[in-house]
Amino acid sequence: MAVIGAPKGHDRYRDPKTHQMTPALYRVRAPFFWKNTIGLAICTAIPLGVYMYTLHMLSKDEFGDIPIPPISDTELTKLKKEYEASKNQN
Amino acid sequence: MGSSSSISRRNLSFFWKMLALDKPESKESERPLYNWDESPYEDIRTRAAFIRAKALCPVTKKPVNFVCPYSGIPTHHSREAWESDTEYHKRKTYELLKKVNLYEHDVRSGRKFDEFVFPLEQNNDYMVNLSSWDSFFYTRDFAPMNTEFNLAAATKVLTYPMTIAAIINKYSPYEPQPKGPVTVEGLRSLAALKYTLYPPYTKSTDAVTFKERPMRIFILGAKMESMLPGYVWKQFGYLFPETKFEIHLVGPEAYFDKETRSFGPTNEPHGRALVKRFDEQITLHYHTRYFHELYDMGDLFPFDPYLDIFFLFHPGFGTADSIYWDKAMKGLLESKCPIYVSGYHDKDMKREIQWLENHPLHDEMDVLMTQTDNKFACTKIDLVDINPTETFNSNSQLYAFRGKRYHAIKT
Repeated sequence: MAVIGAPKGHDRYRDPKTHQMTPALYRVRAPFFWKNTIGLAICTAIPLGVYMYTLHMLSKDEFGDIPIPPISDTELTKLKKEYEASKNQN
Repeated sequence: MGSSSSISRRNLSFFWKMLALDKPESKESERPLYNWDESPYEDIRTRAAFIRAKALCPVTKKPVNFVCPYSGIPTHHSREAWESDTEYHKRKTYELLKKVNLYEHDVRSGRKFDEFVFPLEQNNDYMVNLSSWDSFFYTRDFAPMNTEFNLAAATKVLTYPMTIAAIINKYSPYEPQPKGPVTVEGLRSLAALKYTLYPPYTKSTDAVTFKERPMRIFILGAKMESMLPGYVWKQFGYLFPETKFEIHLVGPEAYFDKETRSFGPTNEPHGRALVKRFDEQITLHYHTRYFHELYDMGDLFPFDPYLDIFFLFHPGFGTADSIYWDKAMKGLLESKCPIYVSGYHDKDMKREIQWLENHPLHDEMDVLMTQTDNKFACTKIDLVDINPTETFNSNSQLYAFRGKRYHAIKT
């Protein structure tokens, strides 16, 4: 009666319905939990920090130094006409 | 305001749940606590009667005649003695005794013992973690040991093979000094054994293999160990799939006859061992004689520190068997093989070490491992029948020694 059927794998360490961890899995995880949590915090802090720093630096920019090219009056009336025409068609 | 705080609390508890920090509530209801005298199982009632007949009260030194109301086990002479035992109440010994009581009833309860559904061989891709019982069970894919009762039942049988495996495995949890208990001499002995267990890589075409015989594990003074069936030892074998093992159980109680339900000699002619082959890898040899007799017979020669290892599980050097251990010591030390000793608790282990230190052959001994907690001790607490307030776990402490090796001297 040594072995009845094949092992079912690590799924047995969770509740089949709620998928909650069993007390056995809590004990297995215990020695690794805090170190892993600290590792997770460090690993998420690096990309988040880069993102925040970039956003901070970019939001300082006012774009005041970029020249906007002037537009001539004839070109403007031509564009207006084209716009009206497309509006009437619809 | 009230609703926002309750939302934030709910968010936090959701976060908590996501990290699975909330422990699931135990579905186990409080188990009934029987008095041992009124237990539904006859052998427990007999044991209670034995305690009453043999044990002495720790306070009054009179026969035990009072059942501790917390644990249900007869422990003291009278209620006054029980009340005046401050040590007993201060150390909460009754809680341990209560556990003993619950464990004993659980084992006999006839519930479904899923913990004895053992896994098959380990997949090559998965490593076994030997740092504790829990990680071993998880990585070896045992059924989850959710309650302490599961753990107690499983560790009671697995403690013997796993204690051996944890010592000689490549990923042993015992570190060398100064971080751990293993001395330089211990490392030497283990290195020799590991050379056999994990031989240096050779192409299969060069047929030069070092292992011309299986590795032998001698268990001296075997009693509980000899009742273990082959498939329990096979769990040990699964951790070393490349090596063949002979497990030699030595001692007058090394063979448990299932028909007469008693320990006794095997009745093999010419003092030979009874050999039971479990499979290709594991064979069990039952020698129902004392070790010094076997050693003098010479059938087990030659001993080889690369292939042999001795285990003395709770030898009780100082007890009535002292004379036999004394005789065995010469052969043990001459073999130069590592000898591992286990003890029931700290005091017991210290007693064993004390005996070894006072032994006339002490100068011939090298310490391989200083006293340390066994990572694979049995978690089932038990009590000493003749002193019911003393509890122990089998194999809870480890110590190791070996016959001294002399370096070659140039002449």
